[in-house]
Amino acid sequence: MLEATPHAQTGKRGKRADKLAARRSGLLYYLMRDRYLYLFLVPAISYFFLFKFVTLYGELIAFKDFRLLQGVWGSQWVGFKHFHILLASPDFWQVLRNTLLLNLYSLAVAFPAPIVLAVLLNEVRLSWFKRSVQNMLYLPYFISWVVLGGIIVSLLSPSTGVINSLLGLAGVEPIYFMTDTGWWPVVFSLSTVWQGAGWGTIIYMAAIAAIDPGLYEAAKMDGAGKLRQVWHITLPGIRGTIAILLVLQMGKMMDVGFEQVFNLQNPAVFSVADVISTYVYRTGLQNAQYSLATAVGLFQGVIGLILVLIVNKAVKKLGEGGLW
Amino acid sequence: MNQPSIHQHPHRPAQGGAVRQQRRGARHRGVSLLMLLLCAAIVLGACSNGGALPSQTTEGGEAAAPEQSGAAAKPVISASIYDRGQVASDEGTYEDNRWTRYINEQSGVQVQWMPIPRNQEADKFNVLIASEQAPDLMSTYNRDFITRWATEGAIQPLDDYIEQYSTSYKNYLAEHPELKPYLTLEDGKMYAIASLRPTRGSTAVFIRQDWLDALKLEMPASVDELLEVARAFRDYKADVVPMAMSTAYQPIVDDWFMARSGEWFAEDGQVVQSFFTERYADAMALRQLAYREGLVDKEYATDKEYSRQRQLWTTGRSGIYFANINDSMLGELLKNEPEAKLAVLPPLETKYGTNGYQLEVPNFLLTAFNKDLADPEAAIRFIDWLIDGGWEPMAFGFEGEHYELRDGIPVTTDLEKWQKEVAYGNEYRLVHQEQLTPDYLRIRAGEDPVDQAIAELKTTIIENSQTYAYRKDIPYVPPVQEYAAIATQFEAKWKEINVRMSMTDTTPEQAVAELRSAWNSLGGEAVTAKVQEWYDANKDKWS
Repeated sequence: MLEATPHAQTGKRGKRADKLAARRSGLLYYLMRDRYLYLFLVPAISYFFLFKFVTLYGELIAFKDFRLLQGVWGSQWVGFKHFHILLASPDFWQVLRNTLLLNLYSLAVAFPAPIVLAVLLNEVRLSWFKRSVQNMLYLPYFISWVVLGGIIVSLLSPSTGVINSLLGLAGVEPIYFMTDTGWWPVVFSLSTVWQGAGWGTIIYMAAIAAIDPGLYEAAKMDGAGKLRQVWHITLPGIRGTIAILLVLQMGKMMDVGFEQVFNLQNPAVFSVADVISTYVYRTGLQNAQYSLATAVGLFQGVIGLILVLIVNKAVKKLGEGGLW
Repeated sequence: MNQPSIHQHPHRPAQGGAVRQQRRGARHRGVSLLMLLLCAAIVLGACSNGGALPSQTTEGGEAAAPEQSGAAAKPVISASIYDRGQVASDEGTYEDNRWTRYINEQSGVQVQWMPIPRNQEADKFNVLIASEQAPDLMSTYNRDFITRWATEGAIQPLDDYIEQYSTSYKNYLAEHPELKPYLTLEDGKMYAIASLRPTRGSTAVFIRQDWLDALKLEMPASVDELLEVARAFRDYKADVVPMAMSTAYQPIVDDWFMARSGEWFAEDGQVVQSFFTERYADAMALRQLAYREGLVDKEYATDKEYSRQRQLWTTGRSGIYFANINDSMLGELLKNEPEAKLAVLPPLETKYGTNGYQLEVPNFLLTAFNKDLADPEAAIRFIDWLIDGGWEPMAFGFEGEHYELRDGIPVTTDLEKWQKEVAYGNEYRLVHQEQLTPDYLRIRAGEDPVDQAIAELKTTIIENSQTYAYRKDIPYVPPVQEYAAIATQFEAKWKEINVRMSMTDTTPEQAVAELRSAWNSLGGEAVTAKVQEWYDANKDKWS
């Protein structure tokens, strides 16, 4: 009954608020009302302005033959030349295919992993056990890929690795996972899970914590078992969170983290492991073909944006809030 | 149920009095928040100022020189330095250590060093140049970079500066005209400064003489005999992987067959990439055979830093080691297994004849001058000082502290001390006059038996490099832009095809066909035509 709605407000301030309410869609009204809250936004906004918007200027060189001496503006316009080069190059299609495939695998394996993990953790009753498990799960997230890559290579080594010793006990011939073009994507996806799943649970754990415990009590009274509770209360309760993270994930469909691929790949699996980020590194940073590399990056960004727009729309159709 | 909802919206209370109080509180909080932000801004500002300082001074001596007029008014220049992670922490950093201080005290020039990670020079230099932060002097072993920087206009010709300001380096260059072609680009102007390499010997294969003796085997003289020896080594003891690799493995096998991966050859006047000579298929077949028979490590593909290989060699589980003249793992092995006896594998015969091991280009570091270099006179003065003898302590250390003179040759007294305090100083010698000769090596090694053994091996490598001819049809990478544009992309391809082929049953013919289609899809045929054009126009310069 004490709900803090504008209608319940009294006094001068209430009247002023009513007047302002006439143009409440105006940005100024909110800016004035919550000015101190917005002040908190200033650092983040200036970060995005400086490092994301201002740098868009550099994207111009995708349409130019960039030469260092002439600078971004002075270089010659060449229109879509670099895009033509890209689309005509068989390497680019291979790189694009690898990027999309690796991301699809990740979407199938690495995206649900933290959800499952969070639900499981939520059911753990011993709090010391839960906490220590959580800490161990977070650990890989803070280790750099150089180290993780080394650990994975030695774990999977055909001669000295643990995995192959275990397989050997079961009578399986040693498999050189890291150089097998069939196994490598599997290793890659599982490494993504290993590194990120624990960390990913944090946001879901928070969402689960916000679910009204009354719902569980009611369900228990109605005789629902653990699985029923998970299915009918926990999962619907974090639906919105899952949807938002899914939309964000779609934005990364064209992007495979450079560190991870670079440290896990080797020449033998190049045909499945060369992705956009490693391609850009080679052409742009190593070979100094700045314009071509920028064209790749721009292409990647545009496709990513389109995917986000589509999935966001789809999510909204399904009744979730979406990103906007 | 209502209480929580109020708590969740404390900034929107219902009562007027509470509102006013809240608002006053908010204003106070607002003010202190503002102060906080201001403080943060000041701190951040100070930080970014601090961050900007070094790059400002590296822009050129011009800005910094007047300010330092109080202290002896030394001109300031900046220079790149390869960072090989060799500076021990108590020696300082690559920017500040005993040798940078020595240079600043003795050379009459202040040099600010900018470390470039050795295995990331391509991207590091590209980023520095693109963001206009590149140092005044840029040093590299890669002549391609010099070509690219010159076409991009990032560096400037040096002929006038040398003519005008230099005495010692000018004389040195006159004494060694063989350097000139390596420093001069297509436009006939000189874009880099360099001195001669201490030795042109480079790659080498080391073999366990004690294993050969124990198995009563002869030193192999042909590739086939080497394979026989490797098979015997494999069965000699348990757990032996006969051949240990390093980055040198593929180049050495290529060189046996006179077809170094990625290099251009002139076959009857026609330029061709090594991959498309008939010899290359044999080099690939040999690597495949070695893998199939377990003569090399089965897991070399994932051993990117060659740590497994080094371990195999230094723990005495390998009998043949593909490395180069300065490899530090020889000493490690001799420390672990003092009874080990090493020998240098001579050049091997194939059906195409006997090729020597790689003969390096004659030049040491190539140093180019940034287009924005403000004080060329100071830069030249620094180079002159180095070549005059400024380089010597950075090679040998100081007399009495690191070496004693014997027959006029500095003999290191304590190798470990030298390794720690002097070895990294070598890199600061942009130019120098050290020449490795057999006598020089032998005397310099002093009394230590391990050092002497290594000096013997090096002597053999140097002698081999002088007696056996090494086939190199074109002395440096053709400076053809169309080729430079695809070289990195093609390198990724040929590495993949090579590694995959060596581990599977792909025949050499199939692998060559794959190489061919990768080359063609990058527009390789047009590139070959361009390189041919360049070759025809320039071949008389070096033959």
